[in-house]
Amino acid sequence: MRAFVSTFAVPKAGSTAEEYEDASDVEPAAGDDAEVTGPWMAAAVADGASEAMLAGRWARHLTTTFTGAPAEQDLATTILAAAGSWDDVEAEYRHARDEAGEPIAWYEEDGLRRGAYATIVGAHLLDGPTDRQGPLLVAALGDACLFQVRDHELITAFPIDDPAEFDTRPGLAPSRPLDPAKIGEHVVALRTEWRQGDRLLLASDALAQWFLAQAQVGGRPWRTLFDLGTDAEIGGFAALVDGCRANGSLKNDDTTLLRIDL
Amino acid sequence: MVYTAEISRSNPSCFIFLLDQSASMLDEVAEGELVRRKADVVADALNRLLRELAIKCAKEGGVRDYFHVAVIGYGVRVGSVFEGELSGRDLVPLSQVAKYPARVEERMKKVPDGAGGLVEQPTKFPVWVEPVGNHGTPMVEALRQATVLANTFLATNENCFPPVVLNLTDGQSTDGDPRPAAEALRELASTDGNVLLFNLHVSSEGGTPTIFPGASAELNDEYARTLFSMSSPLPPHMRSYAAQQGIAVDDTSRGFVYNADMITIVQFLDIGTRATDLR
Repeated sequence: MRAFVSTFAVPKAGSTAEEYEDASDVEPAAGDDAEVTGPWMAAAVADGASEAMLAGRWARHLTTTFTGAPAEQDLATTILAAAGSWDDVEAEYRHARDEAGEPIAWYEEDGLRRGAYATIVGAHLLDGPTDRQGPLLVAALGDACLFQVRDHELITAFPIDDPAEFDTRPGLAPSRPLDPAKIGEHVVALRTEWRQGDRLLLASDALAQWFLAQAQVGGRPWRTLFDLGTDAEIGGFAALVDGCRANGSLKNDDTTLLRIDL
Repeated sequence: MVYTAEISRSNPSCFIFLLDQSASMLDEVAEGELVRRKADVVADALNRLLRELAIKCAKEGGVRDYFHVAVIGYGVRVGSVFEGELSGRDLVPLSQVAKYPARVEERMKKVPDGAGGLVEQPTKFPVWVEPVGNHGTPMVEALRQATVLANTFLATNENCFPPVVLNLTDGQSTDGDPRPAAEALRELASTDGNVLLFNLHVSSEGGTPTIFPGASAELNDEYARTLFSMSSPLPPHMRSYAAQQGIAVDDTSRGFVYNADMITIVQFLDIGTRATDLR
């Protein structure tokens, strides 16, 4: 397959770039708007829950664990693998705080003990009999979404296809699962097909809800997202996000788009 | 008037706690097999509420100022009960409240062990207010001070999620009928809704603990009936959240609890995606 991959990210208004708690990752690794070629590709977007500690780190850890996992591995196993190495991530954070002379405060201990939470959507693309189409394996937990557009039509919206289904209590992947078996009960998966010319959009919840709301009233929000420029014009995404936040159509939240042009 | 305003550092809300410190708070109340003074019950409830609020808003790098907090005691005098660095201050950003408790205790707390059981772990438990009980119960003056504070906050935060005032008391006001002062407080509003006045009633009268009762509730205590009538109706999203927690509510439910816990109100407030385990 051949694909161009672009990522766009804007933190919640009022937050700094360091406080951004979404994450995205693609393998094979490529720079922004770079061409990726090969027999497979993995991509993921995760959204750290704002009430949790180290949510951004957990989101990043989840996406990189996903893109490094075998395509056929189910998402619950991937989440548990990421959770299995969470102690190391937390220890590294504690060490950094100690080194900086800022040991963990009482109000952080509870959150660290409880662990972090994030939604995730991920996709594995594999070459089929030719390198122009093949299996598309999508899995999700929570309300981060994947959209697939073919011939100017939205053909897949997963796992949510109704903008009314978003709230502040999505299913979340835990870094310290109390009941590991529950993860498998909440993970959803879809096996479909990609074709050359398709466009895949992986989005965190605010953008996904906006996208579905526009589509529901007959709009074609994918056109807007396709028109977003390359890295030289990434300001275009920030302007879109600012405008939509200002007119109330986009929730003020960390906003992330990972676009794959096949 | 929808109670949907975003709570953020650029659009914070505020919590005003009113703490009854009158002599009658030294009376004892039975909680199951445990007997404690009412002053101990409300001080403990308030310390736990402040702790939960700080933990809810804690991120790496500190507690975020999604709320400004005042704690007004009423007994010998009416005024801020903050001590130490916060002494004499009324509305304080939450990060400062978290940073400056009067002291920090270590208690054993049961936490999940990751294998379906519970294990005891030492947990730091900050204390901002100590149990106090003497003199009368100037609840009317406390409500007036809350009105001044809420008004001041609203003057510079007109689009905020409305201030939440939580009165922790045994209900026996000694400076007059508190209902008109409560009404004046509830009439204050941001563009998002009226000030919310909740009451946590600790009573020696016994009876069934009650959480967020509605119009049909049978309250066997005169003070409970007064406090219920002073309490704001629960906004729809709070009713919805309470129902999800298994609390029986209806569209007449008010922000009132009788001999029960009100830690739930911290969870009523949306500051973003909730960190909840899969069920």
